Amino acid sequence: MSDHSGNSGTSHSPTTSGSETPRRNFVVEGATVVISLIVGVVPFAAGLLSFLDPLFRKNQTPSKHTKGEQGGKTEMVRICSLEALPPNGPPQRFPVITDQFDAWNFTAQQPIGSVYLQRISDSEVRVFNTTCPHAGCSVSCDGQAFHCPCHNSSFELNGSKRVSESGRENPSPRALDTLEHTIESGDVLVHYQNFYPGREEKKPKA
Amino acid sequence: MIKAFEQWLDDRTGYRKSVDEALFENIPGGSRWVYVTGSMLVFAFVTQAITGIFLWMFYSAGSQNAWESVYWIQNKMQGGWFLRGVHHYMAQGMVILLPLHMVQVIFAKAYVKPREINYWLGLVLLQLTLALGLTGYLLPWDQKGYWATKVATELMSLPPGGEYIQKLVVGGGEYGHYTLTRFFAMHAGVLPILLIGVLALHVAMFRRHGITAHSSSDRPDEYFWPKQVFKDAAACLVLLIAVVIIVVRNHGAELGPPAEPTEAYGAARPEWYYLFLFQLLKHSPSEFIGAIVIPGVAMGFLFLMPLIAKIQYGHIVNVVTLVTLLIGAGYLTVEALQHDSYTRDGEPEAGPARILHHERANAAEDFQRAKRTADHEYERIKELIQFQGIPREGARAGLVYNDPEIQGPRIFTRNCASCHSYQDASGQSDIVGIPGRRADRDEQGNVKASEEAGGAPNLFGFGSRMWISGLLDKDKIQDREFFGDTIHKEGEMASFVQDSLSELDAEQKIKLEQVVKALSAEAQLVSQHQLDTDADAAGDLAAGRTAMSEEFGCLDCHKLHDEGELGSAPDLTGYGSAEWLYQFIANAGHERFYGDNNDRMPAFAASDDPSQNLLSPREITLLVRWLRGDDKDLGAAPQNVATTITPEENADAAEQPEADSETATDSNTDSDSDTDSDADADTEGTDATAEEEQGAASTSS
Repeated sequence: MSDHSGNSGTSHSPTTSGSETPRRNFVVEGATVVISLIVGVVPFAAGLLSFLDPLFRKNQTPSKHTKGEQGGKTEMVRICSLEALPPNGPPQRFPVITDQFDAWNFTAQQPIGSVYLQRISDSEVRVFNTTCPHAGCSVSCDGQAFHCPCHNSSFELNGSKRVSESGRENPSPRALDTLEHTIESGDVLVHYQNFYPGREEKKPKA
Repeated sequence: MIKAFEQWLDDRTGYRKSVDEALFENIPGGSRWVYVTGSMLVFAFVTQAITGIFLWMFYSAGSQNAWESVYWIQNKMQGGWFLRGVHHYMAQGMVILLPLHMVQVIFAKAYVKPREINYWLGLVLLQLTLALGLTGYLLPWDQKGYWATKVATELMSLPPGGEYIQKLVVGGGEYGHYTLTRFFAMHAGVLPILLIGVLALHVAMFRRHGITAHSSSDRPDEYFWPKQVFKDAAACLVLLIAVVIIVVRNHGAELGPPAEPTEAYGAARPEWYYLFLFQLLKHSPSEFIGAIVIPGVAMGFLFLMPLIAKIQYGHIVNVVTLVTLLIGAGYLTVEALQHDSYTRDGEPEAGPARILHHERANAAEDFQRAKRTADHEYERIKELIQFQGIPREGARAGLVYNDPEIQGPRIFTRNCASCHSYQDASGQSDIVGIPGRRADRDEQGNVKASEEAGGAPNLFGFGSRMWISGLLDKDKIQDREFFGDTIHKEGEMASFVQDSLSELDAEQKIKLEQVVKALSAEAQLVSQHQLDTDADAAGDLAAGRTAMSEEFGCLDCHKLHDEGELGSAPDLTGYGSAEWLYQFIANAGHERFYGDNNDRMPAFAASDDPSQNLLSPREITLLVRWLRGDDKDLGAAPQNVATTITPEENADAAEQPEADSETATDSNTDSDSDTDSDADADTEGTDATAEEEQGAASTSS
């Protein structure tokens, strides 16, 4: 490595004895290792701190849009009026319209998801999240049953896992996810939540 | 155990040989502190790569997202300000280290045979680093980065064929999405890859040639490990600590208000390490010479240095030239900074020197005001984001464009400031970015006497109790603050105030105070809401209105609600209210206001045809809201106070001043429209412009 150095004159490089000299300086070597670690870790740690931001992020509704609302955790979203649902009709798909947080953007009253509503009696409504609990695709409904277009999960209109006549396996680990809801002065209000797919228990995403 | 693993690994990879080669490189004459610059540069670059890739995870290139995502990194992301700060200031560390590294190479004569190629590679690395700095400066898409980079890319078009280069760099004729996507691809992709490639060659070639120094008997040779590595690492630590201190002290890198292609930005400056080029341009006979020829010749000379060194005294010529270039660049940098901080103190003798002195002071003042205004706007945008979030159309279109506190001063400066001032009691207007009036100077640089332009009222606090009590003060009414240079200075109002209000007894003084309260309450200022409510409850407002008609005879000339007639003096009904101000600005010469007595106040929107008007309904609304301070405290406007003019009203106002003034004689109509606008204020707040624009559109259709 030092044999081409022209006029640099490395005619007498330290012989291999250099590395064998008893004057090995452990203090310098140790300090070098420590300092190198520090200078290497700091920029990486700075990046890592920000990288982990999504784990700790809590969305804060801008003050203009919090007026008159209690900052309650279970926010009920109006989906439609009860009148819009014919009694004993097939499930109908509705968008869920509420405030949307997308990193730096905040948009009030945006469609952020969808639900199936089915009126089963005068005052009773079934509410399902449209997301398949198997792997998170969006299920469709033909009036007879719910079908997932991805891996052939299917569900009865009451949300339970369907046993196919052909005996084909239903891969969903659980029934369609029902959502908390109330009917207030003729409106259907839903507490919209998404749940982790692929597991038996229904665990809401924070 | 470890030994066995090392052996296993070495059998398969031969890593020991590489490590030995790396660590046990011979250093003739032993380790030295001056050798650390190269390692520091590598360390700085690695830091940039690490922090840059992390920033990449949060940055969004695009003209509606770039500033917004950087704002989020800077203000909302956990540790984001620190990450961005390290990236920003480490880049500057690189730019400082580069010339140091180069000077060391030149002084050590390490650029001559056989190391020419490695020297040239070093110059390429210098260029790549500077290009990284230039491309990175634009990415936040703030005013500062936008305008500084715009100048750089405009200058690219100067050499023959430069138009095409410019178009390719910018991604089209004008700055936009493609400028950002291209700059980002350059900054995070092309340039770093090139830099890594050239750096690898640079280091490999350095290894091949070794260190230039000679061994001597008093300085024995040493291996790279551990002493030189220790020195390198320690120097990197010092650099890192310095960067971290600066980052913490400044709370990260600066971010200005978002880029606005339509707004002049008086503080457009490149990053400090480009200031010498910026300053050079000011001294150059032409842009082509200053921006292309001189820097090109200097760079060409640097490239030729290894060849020049071959001739006799060539090395000395190189050293002297390099030092001269560096001193020149340093001088220009300092000069640029001095010009921007030039003060008016120490006026020289009358003559050209005095004129130059004031020109420089004016320029520095403009620069500093632009900076202050930018800071002020940034803080305001922060409030807006806190208040309503960043809409999808971005901060500029969604927040800045609609905000009276930002747009008001701009519209005022463009349309009103040539006559009106806007200064608080201490004479400060700068905080909102409105330039103060400057004295006209003759060719000797002396202030021209008796040339006071403008002289229309100071509109700071218009309609407030402070303003109205000033107007009704015999000592103030003829000031520039009020009737100033207008014909009203000698008018009936002025003589009334001076004659009838000059010697009041104690009881009359109380009544005058009540008049002030009552008249000011007509404005329904948000900031006086509590005062007005209290005064109303105490009966002061009713008493004031009575005093206006019975005690002082105001309504002999003015109209107030159901009393008095229009035609001789401005309508006091809703004086200073949003509606009143809007109509006044639209047409001050209307019968409801000054009529034939109007003195030079232009009608800004008197025509039925909006295209004929000087100001659009949107602009007038923003101006009015700002003058009244409706949006100063976001969300503070009490629910029952009318603060907004609805777009329909605006359109009507622009369209039918006649019809409006007829209905205005009926005070009931006024209160009705107030309730309408009240409802609007609740639902729309400051982002009513979409509808306002629709209003404007429907007006034009």
